[in-house]
Amino acid sequence: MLKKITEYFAAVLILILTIGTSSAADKSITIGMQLEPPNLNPTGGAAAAIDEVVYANLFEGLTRFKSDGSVAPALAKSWTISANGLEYTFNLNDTVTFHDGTPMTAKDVKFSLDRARSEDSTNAQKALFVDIDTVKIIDALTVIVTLKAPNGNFITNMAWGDAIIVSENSISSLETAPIGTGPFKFSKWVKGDRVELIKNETYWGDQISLDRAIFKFISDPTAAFAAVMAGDIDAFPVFPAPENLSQFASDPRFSVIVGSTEGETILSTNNKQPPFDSLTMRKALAHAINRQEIIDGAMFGFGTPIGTHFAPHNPDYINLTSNSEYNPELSKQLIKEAGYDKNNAITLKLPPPSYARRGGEIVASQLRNVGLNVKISNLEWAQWLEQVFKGKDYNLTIVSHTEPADINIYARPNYYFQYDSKRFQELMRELSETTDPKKRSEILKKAQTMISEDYVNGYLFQLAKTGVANAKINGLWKNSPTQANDLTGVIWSD
Amino acid sequence: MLSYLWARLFTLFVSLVLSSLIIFILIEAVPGDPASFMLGINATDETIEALRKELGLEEKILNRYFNWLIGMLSGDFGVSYTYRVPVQDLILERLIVSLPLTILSLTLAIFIAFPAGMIAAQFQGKKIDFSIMAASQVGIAIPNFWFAMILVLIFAIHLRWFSAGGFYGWDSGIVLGLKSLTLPAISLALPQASILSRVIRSSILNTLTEDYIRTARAKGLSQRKIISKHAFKNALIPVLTILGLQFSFLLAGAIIIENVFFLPGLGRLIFQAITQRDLIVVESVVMLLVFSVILVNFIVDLLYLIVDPRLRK
Amino acid sequence: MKNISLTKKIKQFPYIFWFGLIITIFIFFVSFISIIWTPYDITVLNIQDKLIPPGNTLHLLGTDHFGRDIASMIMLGAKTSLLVAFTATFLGIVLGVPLGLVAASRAGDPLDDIIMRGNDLIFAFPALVIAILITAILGPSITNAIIAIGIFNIPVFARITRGAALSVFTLDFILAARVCGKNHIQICIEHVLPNIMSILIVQSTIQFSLGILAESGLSYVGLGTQPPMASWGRMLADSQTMISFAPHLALAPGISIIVTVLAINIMGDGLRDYLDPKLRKKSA
Repeated sequence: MLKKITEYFAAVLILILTIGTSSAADKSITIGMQLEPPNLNPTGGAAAAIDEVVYANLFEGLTRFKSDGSVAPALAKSWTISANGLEYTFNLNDTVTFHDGTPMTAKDVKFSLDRARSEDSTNAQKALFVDIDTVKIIDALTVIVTLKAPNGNFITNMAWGDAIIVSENSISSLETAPIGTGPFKFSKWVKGDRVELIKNETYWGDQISLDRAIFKFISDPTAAFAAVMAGDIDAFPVFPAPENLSQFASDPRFSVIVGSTEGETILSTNNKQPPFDSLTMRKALAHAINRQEIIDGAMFGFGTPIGTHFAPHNPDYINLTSNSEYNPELSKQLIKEAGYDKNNAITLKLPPPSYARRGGEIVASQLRNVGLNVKISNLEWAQWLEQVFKGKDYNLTIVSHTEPADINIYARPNYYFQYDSKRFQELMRELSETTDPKKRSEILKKAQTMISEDYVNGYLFQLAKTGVANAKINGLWKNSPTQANDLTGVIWSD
Repeated sequence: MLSYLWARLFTLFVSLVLSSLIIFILIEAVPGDPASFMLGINATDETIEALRKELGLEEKILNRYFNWLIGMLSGDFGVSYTYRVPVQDLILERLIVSLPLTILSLTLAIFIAFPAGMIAAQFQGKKIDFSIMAASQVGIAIPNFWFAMILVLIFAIHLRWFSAGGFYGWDSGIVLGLKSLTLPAISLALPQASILSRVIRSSILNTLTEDYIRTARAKGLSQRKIISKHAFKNALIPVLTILGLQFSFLLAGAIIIENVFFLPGLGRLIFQAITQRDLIVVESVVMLLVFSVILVNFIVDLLYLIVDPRLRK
Repeated sequence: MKNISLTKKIKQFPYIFWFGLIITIFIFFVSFISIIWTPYDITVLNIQDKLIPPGNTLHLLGTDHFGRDIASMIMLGAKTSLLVAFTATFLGIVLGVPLGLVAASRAGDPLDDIIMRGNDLIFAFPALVIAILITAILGPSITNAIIAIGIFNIPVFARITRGAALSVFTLDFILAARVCGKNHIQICIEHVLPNIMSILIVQSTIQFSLGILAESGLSYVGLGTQPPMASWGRMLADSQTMISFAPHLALAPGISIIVTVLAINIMGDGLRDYLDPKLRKKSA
């Protein structure tokens, strides 16, 4: 009997082990992403994962971001701006067709822009389009967009993933089988696992080197680690667990790519709720925080300390970390001065990303160290949006603000951290009316200093883009000026 | 008999209506708006409202309940908020992963548990019985997600025999498909096999005390023959009941394992749908699971009625 | 009764029972200690001491990614596990047993039917999904983990109480008590409950060990206790990404769970064998 059992196990084991492997062809790339996009329509939702699949690969706009963050022509080969800064004339490329074969014309541009700003639009970045007054078709390849007021950012706005050009007759399938103008066509989507794109042979622009691109969604960091190690994934541009990067770095098969993102990771503070409605308390908060410890402990050393809400790689950035140097003694003194009552628990509500969960535990420990009574509460995103972002029912939270150049959120008194400064709002108004680059830079620096000295939020670090890729892959974006995995320049070297 | 059937059908109906109400109320009570979740932190209030209208969230609560109920009766489970495809398509897509996974792990559990349980019963009180029972105690005590982590560490990271997870899809070949289900099936099978082997052992031992077994023994049959020929068949009934329970448990209960191995199964669909507040998906999938369990219970009750005439009062 | 000496009584329990009992008592002891003392304060993070491997003279089981002492976290995690499992089992008994008694004393009535069908209905719901929904509604906390686990203990106790009580109700002395004019509640408390106690105790150990597994599962998916309170399940979740270079982070809590559940189950088995002589012959 026993012998039979062992035979039996051996048979099962052999059956399991002999199930062989096969690997895919070469001219393809498998990109790992932590989150699966809910759908593939970048004009109807905010999920970053949508743009990380479709931006520049499947969909294109009038203009586009390049890897260094600069804006380049895309569907519009050129444009002119009228002297008063209100009229933008776009000249479209003439050989562009959608993946269904229909040509892309001025009609589609008008349709896309009108749709994005219409009353029942569900565009997550509708603010990009609010300045548009009219969109006029001149001929098949010329469009004039008239603005209500001059806007120095308009050309940049048109490069966002939310401003891509779609064709009217493909609207109904945008979510599940999108049709765009990009160098890749949609092939298939195995929900919960991967999206596959194939080369668009009739692409209007420069031919790409890849035949196929597979985006595979792996939410679990361990599984992601194992998948990269096993070679199932060729590149994981935003690897979810920084603690594993040193292992990749020591393996010659892989290259670790560390770049910058637009994500200012901040300890957002509710400026209207006690105890942090007091400037002294917020100052105490700032001095209680040891940024390097957070970067080491939560991000395993990846990240740049910041002292204000501005990206360090931006030429207008000023280093203000000295305003909030780690000084627990000063912090304790300030807390005493402010008369904080230890019985008042301070709520620290944390969304799911590991920078928030891990960073939150470290922040809580640091705040306890200066005598603050901190209570952590871990939330899902939907709960965070409801309680913190909409309900403003929190004292502290940690979140990374990934939109580029978004210091203007401090001018919204109803924004979730509820910073209501007339001086700052005035400054932002001035900024939007200024076109002289030198003057703009001056205003931006003033704005950075103002929020830093008002200790609006605790400024922790600029999120690093930490990725890993097969060492033979060239042409992936190092930095992340916008959320995208632009594969148009990717080539395999031998 | 007929009146019993009618009464049973009535309770079936009431149970289904009640559970649909419980599910709907539970899910209505979940805070968080699907539209604001989808549109993120830069969306304007007016955009969110437009999307809410598009998703049908602005309708009255009672209307939504009845629309959902009537829709389900006609096989229309609604359209997922986030994926924007019919919910029944989503469920089918996930079932082709969850169903094979469940079947595979149950088969594995059966292949381990039956010999183990039968041997333990045959050598009751001996060392081998003790070892098998001790092993099954350990198997029950191991959290399956921890076991899964260890399997990944050994077989995926160190030995690289298996990928650490993911599902290639059946169109990439049955071999690749099965391969990606192997480690998850093993981690699911371990506790199930342990429970099952204990049930098999005690259920065989129970039947061994029955009269007809004594007769068989008196006829001079060996213990092994008695177990495999006579006791086994009768011991099967409680075992089948447990198997039925395990089947429906595994179908949805693989949530954690599906997350560890990032398998696109039914469990992960619910888990994701809850975090994304894709409430219509949660409602429909939970209702479907509850329905299947209630239906299985109902059928089992009827089967008992057929098998055991004493119950037909 | 007095004739039976203590040593004889002890001998009636299988050895394995004492083995389980001693380990269980030890785990309880450790978790009580952790209330007043742990080797290190785990609310204080020392990032510079992170990921020390086990066997260190200062940190017996090593430290985690925040430099916290694993041994201290295991001690505090034991407290969390036992607290959740104990309270959830208690919840199941307090609500389930009366329900079962009512159903048994009204056997055949519509009330019995309603209670038992209600039980079936709860069983039909996928437990983990409901637990996730409950924490989505109420927010993650230790209390809500207890509620989520406890709810599913109610029908278990109701069903087992009903089944056991039914057989007691047919006995003669119940009839006698009824003739003496005692009402249902008195009969249940004075006569039925003592007679089904052994079955309830055994079931409690089962639900208790299941509760420990359930708590670890809930904390693993992030639905249980919140930091800085320690939990074995969350330790496992936190360790997952580091398993390839710091396996001790996953081994310590994993083995703690296994040992605890195993000890309680062995104890429960031994208890059942002792309390139920019919079964004594059959199980090892």
